[in-house]
Amino acid sequence: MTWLRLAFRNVFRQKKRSILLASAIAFGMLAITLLNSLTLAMGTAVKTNFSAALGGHVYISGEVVSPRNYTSNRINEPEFIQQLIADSGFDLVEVKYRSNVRGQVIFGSQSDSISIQGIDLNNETKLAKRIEVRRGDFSQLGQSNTIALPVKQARALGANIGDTVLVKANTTSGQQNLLQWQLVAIIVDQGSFGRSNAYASLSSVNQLINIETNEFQKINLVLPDMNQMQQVTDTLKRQLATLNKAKPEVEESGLFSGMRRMGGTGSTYVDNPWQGTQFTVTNLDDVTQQVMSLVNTLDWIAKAIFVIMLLITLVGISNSYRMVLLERIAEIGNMRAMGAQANNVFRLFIYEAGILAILGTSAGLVVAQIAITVIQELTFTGRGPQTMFTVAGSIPASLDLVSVALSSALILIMCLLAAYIPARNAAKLDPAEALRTGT
Amino acid sequence: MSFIDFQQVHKTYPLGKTEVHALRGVSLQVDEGDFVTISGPSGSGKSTILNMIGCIDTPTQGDVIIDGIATSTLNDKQITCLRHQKLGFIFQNFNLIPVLSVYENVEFPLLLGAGKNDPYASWSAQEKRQWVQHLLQEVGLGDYANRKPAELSGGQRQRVAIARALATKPVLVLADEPTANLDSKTGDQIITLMRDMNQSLGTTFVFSSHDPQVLDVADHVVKIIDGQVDADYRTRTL
Ligand SMILES: Nc1ncnc2c1ncn2[C@@H]1O[C@H](COP(=O)(O)OP(=O)(O)OP(=O)(O)O)[C@@H](O)[C@H]1O
Ligand SMILES: [Mg+2]
Repeated sequence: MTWLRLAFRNVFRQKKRSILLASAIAFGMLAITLLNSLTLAMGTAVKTNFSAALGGHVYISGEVVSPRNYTSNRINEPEFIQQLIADSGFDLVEVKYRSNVRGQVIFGSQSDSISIQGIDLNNETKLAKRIEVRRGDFSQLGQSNTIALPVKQARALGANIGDTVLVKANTTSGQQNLLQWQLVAIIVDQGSFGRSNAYASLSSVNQLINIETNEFQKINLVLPDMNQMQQVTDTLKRQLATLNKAKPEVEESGLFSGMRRMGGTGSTYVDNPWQGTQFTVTNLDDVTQQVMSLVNTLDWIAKAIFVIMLLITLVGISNSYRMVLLERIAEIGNMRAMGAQANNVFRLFIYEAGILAILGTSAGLVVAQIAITVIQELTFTGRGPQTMFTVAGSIPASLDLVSVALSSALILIMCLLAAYIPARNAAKLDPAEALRTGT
Repeated sequence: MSFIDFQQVHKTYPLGKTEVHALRGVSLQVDEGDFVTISGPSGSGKSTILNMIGCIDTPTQGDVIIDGIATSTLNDKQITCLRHQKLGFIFQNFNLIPVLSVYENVEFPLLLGAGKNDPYASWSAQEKRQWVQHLLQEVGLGDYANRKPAELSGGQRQRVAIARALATKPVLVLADEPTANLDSKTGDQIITLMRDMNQSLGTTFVFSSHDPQVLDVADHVVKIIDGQVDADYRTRTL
């Protein structure tokens, strides 16, 4: 108690020096906490966006070869794959059969381009709950030749519930197709990457892209637990490979290679055509891998900067305590004469460094929390690739308690280490020597 | 048996390639309750003797026996305990702890882990507080308890140092030239105060001084010249 009180007073003895050192510590703490929570937020945003965009955790897509040796993205053996999934006995929250196409919606003299998701409402229940309907009735998408448009597109087109719009898109084999659909719902879709989808029934989209009504382009599996996704993926791949139904994997790298793999490669010419569907299985981790490795690199850079800053601060602290030792030689000799043990003197120095570390860390943490609150309040509009790092227009930053605890502990330990040698020298001072030299 | 017993004590300090022979066979005794002055010219070895009595330095040769124990047989920790329990210190430079108030400075030795043998080990917090306040009254600083040392005059600081040296009720208080940084009038007051405390508490005082006048106050005078005892006499018997 005595020594803690003395240490406290000593910290405030040289105010300028202590404030400087504490500020350096605080700055380090602020920087690492902020960077950490930002990279973490980026990671969260990326996963959230991708899983919303892709509507699931494990994705199965297929490729079929046309008589003229061109590939197209479709699964023309639906029963086969449905049976395979059923037989595998996976615990699944939802199995979504989807087709989707980027098309042109035309109403009167206006037109707008949008991605149209073909959904089977009998099969998907979660989507209808998630989507906020402004006008009309989303459940009418159960009938064919209907479409639900996001508010923004509906407004741009000037279309209203009940209006008939023209939908133009390319079929899987590359021809243009034009259909008439009725607008049955105007929705607010959180979408992903700041972009919204239009929705139509699976069979209508199939008709638009010219595949059989009972077919689909991909299957999204929603798992009860994200951690199972690798195991499910591997099992499916293995089974498809044994049945000779897996598309050979091509090594490919780049930011969106995972996503490309999942969506197929588009229509390409093949020399050796195959029969039926060749399947590709990917999952959320594959898709986000590249982006996440970018985020992780940033995280490591942040950590490296933190360590360097910490080391510089430590040199400062160590030097300061060497000065303190010189300044207080007589005082230490005096305390020793009065009966303070060598380890009391050692502890006094260590306490001082500890108090400094705690003060600095707390200050840094407070500022970091304020900064994070400000960041949370910021809203980002626009559609660039930066939307990958936002969720609903803001950065999902939050204080990561584990990393806060780790960096605080690291700072504390390092500060104590920095003070260790001066503290030991102070403890080793010969009282007679100290009393003579220090005046 | 005397409280302090020096038996043919020698002390040499290394100085570059040579040695300084600071003490050359000093023998002296100090009895409990004595008011002792060690006098002598500058460089004669007064501080060296006081440091050895105070167990902050050890002899190169010969024995320093305190309360029947040869200090050379103790380790650093035991010596520190001995200092804490039995000795008090007053310095030329006052050496108060600047971040502590007058009260806290006097209280400080009482907070340094009491051992079983410490006279104050069984005191309650209340008793300690009363004792510290009593000491401050005794040295005439009852109203200055909350001041910081920097806010006091030299004489006042030395009074705090006296109160602090007495806090643990030591057997012996050492004062190395306690008046050297004070004007002669204040210096006299300090010597008088030490004398008063010596008589009211029975504490032994050993102090060094250049000032020939203080010889009159002492019960026991030890004159040192060139590291040797030149004269050792009592002015009064106890
Ligand atoms: N650490 C040391 N190293 C070398 N020589 C020392 C050391 N300490 C003391 N001396 C020498 O020992 C001798 C006695 O010193 P001491 O300090 O005991 O004298 P003193 O009587 O207290 O003098 P003063 O009245 O000036 O304080 C002196 O010659 C001094 O220079
Ligand atoms: Mg001296």
